Amino acid sequence: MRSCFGCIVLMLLFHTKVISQHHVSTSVSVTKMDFFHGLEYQFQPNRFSFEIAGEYGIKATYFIRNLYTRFRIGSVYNVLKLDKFQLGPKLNYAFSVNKLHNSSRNTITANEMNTGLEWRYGQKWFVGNSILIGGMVERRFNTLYDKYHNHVTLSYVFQLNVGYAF
Amino acid sequence: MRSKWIAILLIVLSCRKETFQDVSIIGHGGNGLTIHNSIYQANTLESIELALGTEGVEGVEIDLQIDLDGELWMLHDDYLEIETNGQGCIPNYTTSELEGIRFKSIHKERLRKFRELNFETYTGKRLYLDVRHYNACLGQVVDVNRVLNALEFFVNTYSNIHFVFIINNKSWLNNFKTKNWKVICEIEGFEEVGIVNTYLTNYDGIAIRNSSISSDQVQLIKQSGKKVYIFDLRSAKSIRKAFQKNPTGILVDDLKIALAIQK
Repeated sequence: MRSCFGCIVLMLLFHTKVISQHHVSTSVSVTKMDFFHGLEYQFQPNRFSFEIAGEYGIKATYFIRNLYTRFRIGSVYNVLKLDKFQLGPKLNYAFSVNKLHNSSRNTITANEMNTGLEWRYGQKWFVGNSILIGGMVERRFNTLYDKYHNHVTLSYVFQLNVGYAF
Repeated sequence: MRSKWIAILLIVLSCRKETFQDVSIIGHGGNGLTIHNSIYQANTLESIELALGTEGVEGVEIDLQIDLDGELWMLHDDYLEIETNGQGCIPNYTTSELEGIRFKSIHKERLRKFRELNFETYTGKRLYLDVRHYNACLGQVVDVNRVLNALEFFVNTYSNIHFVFIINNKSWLNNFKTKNWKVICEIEGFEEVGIVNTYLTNYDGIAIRNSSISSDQVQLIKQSGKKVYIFDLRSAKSIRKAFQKNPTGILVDDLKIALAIQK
């Protein structure tokens, strides 16, 4: 029974289907600081997938009229890579800039590192989902002490995306 | 077709962004009370200094409670167990019994005495002190004279800071005003202004929930020479609405949103 289960796992691991290497997608993410909408480009040479993305904060940009931008790079190792389904651990780094006030001293920057799982379904057209948790360092200028301070906090990402492989 | 696009572009460009520079932004409990994206727990040294150090923030509101030894502690809730690892009510404990209590938050910040703030660095800032008058565990009103004695030290020592007192027990108003301190009365509705006037007429202003006052009522109170502070503001929509009422100040939970709307 145990060896049978092992065979299935090995089959899933090595049953690799070569599909297109270049993907573009659009995503919506829920994070600790805002809801983000973005565009991604992914390169998938093998089981690894690398992505780069540009995003903006939906709440800040549309409802507060304050452009809140976020740049993100990430990598997924697809442990499971079937014809239409992929699943693997993901590591994500994001850098965001939020200018709150007219003064440049009120520009908040944040570095964020998250890890978790990503799955994707589809071939030419696909849908995907990532669930990640990690840490965030927010850098702000403190006028009391006249210097920048770093503030560490927990962060999370729940992302849905729709894309096209070409 | 081209003229249609030009018309759309002109409409977009003509949508001038509102600015509310005359309205003061005050951090509720420091950097905000019970908001999910706040880095620190409200009423902690970390939260207060994060808010006060943010350009555009005029001051912070701090909740104060007095212990058996006359020491002032910074905590919003009546009961310690709601947000800390302690139990019961601050007015029932001695100072030494409260030492070492920590919040249940991510950073496990310490429950702080008011005197632990770095007052020397807050020059020019306003501290709005919401002094809790009620011991919820005993169901009794705290002795106002003990509170006044505890506060007097700070007002006399730190002249670099503007202290403003938010009072929600009307019978305390006169005691605070006889000290010649700035006093704001917290009220539930506009109709309470008349009741407050029966206790005292030379108070400095009122603090009221956003949902309990209209723009016209704000202007009416301001015309009588009183200041108006609006609180209970958590969403972008409520903060914008509060700005539009043009009060003296707003006590906000999400300072980032307030600063972004104000600019």
